[in-house]
Amino acid sequence: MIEWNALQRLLEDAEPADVAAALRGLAPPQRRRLAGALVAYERELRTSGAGTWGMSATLAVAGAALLPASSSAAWLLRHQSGAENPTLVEVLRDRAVPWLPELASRLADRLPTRELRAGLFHLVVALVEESGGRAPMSDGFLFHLAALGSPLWLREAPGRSALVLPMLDVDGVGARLSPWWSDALLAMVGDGLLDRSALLDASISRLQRGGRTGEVAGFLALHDLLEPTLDEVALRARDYVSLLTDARSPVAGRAQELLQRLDTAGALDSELFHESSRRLLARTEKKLVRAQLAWLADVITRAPAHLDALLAVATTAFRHEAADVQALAVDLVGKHLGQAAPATREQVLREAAVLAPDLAAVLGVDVRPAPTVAVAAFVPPGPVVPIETVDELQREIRSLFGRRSDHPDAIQLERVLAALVTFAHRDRPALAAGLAPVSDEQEWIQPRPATWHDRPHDAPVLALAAVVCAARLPSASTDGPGDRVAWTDTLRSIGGQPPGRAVIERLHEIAVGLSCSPRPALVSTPTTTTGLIDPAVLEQRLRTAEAEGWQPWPSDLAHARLRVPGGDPVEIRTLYSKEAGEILAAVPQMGPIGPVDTAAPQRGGAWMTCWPSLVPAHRDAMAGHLLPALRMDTVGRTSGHPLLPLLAEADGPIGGAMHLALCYGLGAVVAENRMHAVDALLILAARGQLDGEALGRVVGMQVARREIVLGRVVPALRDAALGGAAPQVWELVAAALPPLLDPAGAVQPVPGLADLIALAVELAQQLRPAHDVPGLAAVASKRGPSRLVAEAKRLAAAVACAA
Amino acid sequence: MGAAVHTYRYRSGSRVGERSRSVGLATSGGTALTGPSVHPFFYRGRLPASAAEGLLAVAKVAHTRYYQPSGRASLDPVVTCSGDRLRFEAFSGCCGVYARLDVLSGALDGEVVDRGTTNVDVNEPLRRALSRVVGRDPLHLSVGSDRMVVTTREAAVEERKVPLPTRWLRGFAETQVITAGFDLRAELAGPDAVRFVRSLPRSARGPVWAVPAGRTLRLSGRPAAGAVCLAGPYRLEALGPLLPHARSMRVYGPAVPSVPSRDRRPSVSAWELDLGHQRLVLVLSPEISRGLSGEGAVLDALTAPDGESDAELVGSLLTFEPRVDIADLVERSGLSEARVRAALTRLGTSGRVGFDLAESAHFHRELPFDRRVALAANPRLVNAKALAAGGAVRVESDAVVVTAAGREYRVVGTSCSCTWWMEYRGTRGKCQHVLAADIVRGQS
Repeated sequence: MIEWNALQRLLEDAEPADVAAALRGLAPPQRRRLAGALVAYERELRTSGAGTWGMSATLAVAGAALLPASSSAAWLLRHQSGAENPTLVEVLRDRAVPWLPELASRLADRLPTRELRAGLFHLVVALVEESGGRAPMSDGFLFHLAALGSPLWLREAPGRSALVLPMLDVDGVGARLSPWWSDALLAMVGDGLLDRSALLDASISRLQRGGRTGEVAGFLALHDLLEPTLDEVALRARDYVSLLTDARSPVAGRAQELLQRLDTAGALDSELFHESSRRLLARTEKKLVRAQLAWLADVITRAPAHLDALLAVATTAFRHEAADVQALAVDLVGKHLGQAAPATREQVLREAAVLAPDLAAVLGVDVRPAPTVAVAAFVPPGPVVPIETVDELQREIRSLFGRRSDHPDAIQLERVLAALVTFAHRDRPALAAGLAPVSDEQEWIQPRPATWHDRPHDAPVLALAAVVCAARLPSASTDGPGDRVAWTDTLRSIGGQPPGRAVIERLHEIAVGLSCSPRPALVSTPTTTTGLIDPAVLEQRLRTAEAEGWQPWPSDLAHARLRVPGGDPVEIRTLYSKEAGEILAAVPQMGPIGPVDTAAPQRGGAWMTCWPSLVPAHRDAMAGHLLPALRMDTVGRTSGHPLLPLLAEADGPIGGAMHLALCYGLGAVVAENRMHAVDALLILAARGQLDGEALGRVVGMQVARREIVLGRVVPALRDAALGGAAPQVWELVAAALPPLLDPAGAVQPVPGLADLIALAVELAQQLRPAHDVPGLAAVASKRGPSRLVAEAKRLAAAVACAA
Repeated sequence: MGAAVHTYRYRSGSRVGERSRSVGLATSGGTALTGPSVHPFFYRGRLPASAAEGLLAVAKVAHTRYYQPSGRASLDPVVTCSGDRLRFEAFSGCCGVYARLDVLSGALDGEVVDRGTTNVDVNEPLRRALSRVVGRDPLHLSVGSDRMVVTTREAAVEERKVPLPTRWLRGFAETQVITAGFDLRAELAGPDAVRFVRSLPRSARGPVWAVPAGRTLRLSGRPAAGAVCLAGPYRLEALGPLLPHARSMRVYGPAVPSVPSRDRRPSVSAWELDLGHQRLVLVLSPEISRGLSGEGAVLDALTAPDGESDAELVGSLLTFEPRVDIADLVERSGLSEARVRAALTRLGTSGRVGFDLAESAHFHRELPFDRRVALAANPRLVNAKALAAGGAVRVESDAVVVTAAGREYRVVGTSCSCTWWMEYRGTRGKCQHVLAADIVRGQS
């Protein structure tokens, strides 16, 4: 018999097969004794933190060979890697225990339903095969069966085909239903192993339940593979009707198709057709609504007896968002309205109130466009309230390091920095003690002095941590602070955009300053929440500093200079008294923020929400720095960030960079960022700073270059109009259209152009603008059924009507 | 957490009649006017076909996890019959969405047998049958049945044990207390509601804000005046099928913006479709990852002195009223109006009253679960009581110092120095340290 020490060596160094061989044929008392040692050994490994890394296979085999039924399942869940499965089953076979089915079922219960544990699943399968027991029915097992199992396995033993229907009921299985699976299920139907109608019902039932795209697609593919016959569809007509309401597009489309086929065969009763129309016409997908209107037109011609009811249901499409769909419905209804009963006509005309004015006019209904809304008044930025106590300070710091620290509030950071410097000068021991809770919570923030010898951080949150670390120690001027120029060079070599580097350099300057040369205060702390400093306050701060005989740190002074309202930041020194001007002139020409770094990688930086407040009077310059990040937002899924509203709230002229920034925002991939762009437009509109025409030219050009897509821009613009910027949005659209309109018809129009024109129609009907859109007449005078031409005609009519 | 198990005992599951147009909802447990009942029988009669879509919407919420979907949530809807109306309530598996369908007297055409609250079984055949109800024909529905259990075969009830997470129960209670403080923020006409809900970005996962703009709403990335937080717009999907029937949609949010305008913290919101004789309301938690259970609105009511006895008294006067008349309760209980209101809030915390935003009134219902589980298990309160009882609370001149897990937390007024308070600043109720301080101050 093997001794524990020898077994331990095998567990640590040998292969699973060696362990199995060593533990074969043990007597129960020996097994019990070794099991005790094994459990104790494993517990020691887990609790001591040493871990069982690399040993799971040998541990699993040893557990299978030694442990009793009660603890085997938990053990194998902990130490089971998959590769040792054959050995494991062999060991269990040798023991000839009666509890294999129970073990399989316990393990199956613990199979997850979201991610896959392939090794564990294959072990369960092996145990089921070994014991000849029933296959488990847990959701996790069935989910794994769909993802990793094989249809052949279902045929290997009688009764296993009973797993199919429960498997199809498990969430997540749809996305795993490969064509291979679907084919195999169909073959099982052919072989009499599965009931065809049950399989069809199961797939329909899952289509009704809905879910993610991939999940639904799997069941739709299975459903389609079954190719339901007319009789089968007739039997389930109501189920298909129920799919028309809110199932995903392809599913609703398929249901529409099948019901239509049923109707063609004369087997769809009129109530169900009526209900199908009501549901489909209320959907957003133009394709489905158009198809349904065509079908409806067909039925009206075929069964004029139901005309009144059918016209009433056709008005459902009046509520569709797109004017071209409304127009189709108006066409259909207008053609037959003469034959309708008076009550129906009245109802139709009542429903016409939701139509666009020109379309309602076709039916002889006078509809006023919705009145425009006044844009919400701009709330001017407030004063920056200083932090009063150390207790308040440590709370603010902790929230900066907290869960929501991706996009910190720039002013919160400024208040924290101001308080750190001031409190450090006033009572360093009290500050150091008061910051203790920060270190309690964030173990990596411990007292540590800062110098220019430190390696620059590439993340601002680490640079802020260095400030807090430095503040927790008394200052010491013994060692030299090091070479700042070399540090700055290293920082530059790390990369990143200049404003991001400026933030990090400023933070590190404060950290080094706190450690080596404390000052009584910062001079660059803003006085308003956009980041501006009142020039009078700055002058007062500089005078105080001079009177007290200290000089602000260089970055501090340089940043202060950038935060004064108006003018070129370099020229502001003339605004100051002689003394203050001299101090400013002495600022080394480090220019805390250099020109836009076009060579830097095209990505954003951390804490970009702190950037606009660096140059609050020069938003166009900051917009330039933000352009690379904002452009990335139009390309891929990025996180939502309120950069554009921050720029809109800041000051300074608006030029090409701001317009391009807004343009990228309107075309952003993530919905939240488009909302931020709309918010920014509305802030600018409320401040009288939104030049719709100039922005429109940029939008038109970017759309023409396919930099941004109209599918995102148009809804955002509609929201901005809705929010009160309708006049500016009209100017914008009118200026964006000419470069996109192609009177010659030589090139393919950009996708969504008709939608942009439709938006222009809405605005023109609302605002009755006085001027025309160049190039419109030529497009509108073209012939042909294209939607683009139709919308252009409507726009031309709306503009002409206004003029 | 929340290891409790609830056992549904349905008599043979819900049934579907011929042609799928009649459904019998099986009931399990709960309370009728006459007292607790195993299989209550409340209603038998006709409902409009659209009620089937409403029931499906409620069932859908009950069976969905909107955050980290995995497996199916399996707590059944709760139905309350108040005499003149039926209310079907459900809570999503993620505890972030509450749904209620009110079928009002104008839509009920049948016989009210009894009043009370119970669970109803929404199984797959029933769901299937409900989705087959289309067109104009009414739905025949019964809640419970009058068949007596006599034969042994009948006695074979269908039992289903499901985990009953305490956060689910607490969320249910919390929703009532939170919405009772809501104001109407916007009302959209039917077509505008349709367009607004359909234009919502499906992909947005974070909180966005719906700002009133003319006759409708627009979405904003930041809270503005009058805005209502809409966290995870896709969680309104259950409204979809009923939208075309809606006469209007009302949107509710917290009464007073209790936080300054720079604050971007999200909040709870309620979205109500007016369907004529029916109403469907959804309440959304402030973030998709947050359940309504952790909002802390019930804590004050739970720590108030005399709360329990007042609540007992007021609770004993309720008889499943569709809307609780406060003046009447004041008269019958002899308590002041303020104490009656506080008692109702406290009854809300234990699931004994719900709140109807459209009526701006509480309604009586008895959640068919063991209420003590919910009450006893509010973790923050349990911790606070332990701190207070363990002598961890020290009153100083300018603050109360609470020592928990080896650290000292300073409580000033209702604010605390803990991280949790720092992060939410009171928008999720009091932290355990403030509650412990309250308990100690209340005693002294």
